[in-house]
Amino acid sequence: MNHNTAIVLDLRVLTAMYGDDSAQTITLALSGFRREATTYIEQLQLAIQCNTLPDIARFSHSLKSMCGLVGAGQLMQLCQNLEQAARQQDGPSLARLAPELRQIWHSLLTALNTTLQQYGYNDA
Amino acid sequence: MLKVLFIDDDAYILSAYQRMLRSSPYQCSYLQQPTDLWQLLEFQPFDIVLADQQMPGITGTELLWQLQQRYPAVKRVLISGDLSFALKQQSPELTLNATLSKPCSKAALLECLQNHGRSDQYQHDK
Repeated sequence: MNHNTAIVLDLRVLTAMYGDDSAQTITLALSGFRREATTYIEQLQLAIQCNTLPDIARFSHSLKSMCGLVGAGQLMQLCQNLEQAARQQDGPSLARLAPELRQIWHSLLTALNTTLQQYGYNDA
Repeated sequence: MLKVLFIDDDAYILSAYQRMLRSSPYQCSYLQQPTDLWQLLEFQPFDIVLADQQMPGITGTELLWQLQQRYPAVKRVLISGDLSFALKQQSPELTLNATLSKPCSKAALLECLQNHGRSDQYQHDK
């Protein structure tokens, strides 16, 4: 599936997953996601640089599940594609997908920060 | 009260389950290190264990197979983002009480726990 057509961040998915549309749940879920996903993105980028396929698959898989919980559709789909390419040892696909990680993460981070601000979440 | 144990190496996923079930009528525990399961079971009984498939060092199907052999009365639920692939990896003797697709919604978790809680109640009434 083409990750470029997926939605960057869909709060409806988050509220459906948690069964809860309260500001507290949304800010807890998104702030926690932002913190944990940042670490996974760094690990994934390093794995891609080193071309360690098992790590690319592992980090993509974990990140994919987390994305699914909060409605980060575009990153989730990219992770699905990266995981599949790594498991199939598909070098050309990985070479094509990997450069998009940085831009997609940047878009998601912007959406997360904006949404958290809208819900009154204070980073300080 | 149904005693539930979730096992997943991802702390964020476990925190999500905790958030979803915070007001539920179940006594839920959360374990990030699958190898700690046996020590935990010595001191704390559980009615149902829900385990993620992809974990470092051991798969969910392998862990639940060991659980079946050592604690056969504890119910076993596998959680996976790719259930068809996960079920191909399982031992043929493993019997699962349920499977859940990851990511799990609150509704899916509650339905699963309600189904197993209900069957427990039926057995108590017999």
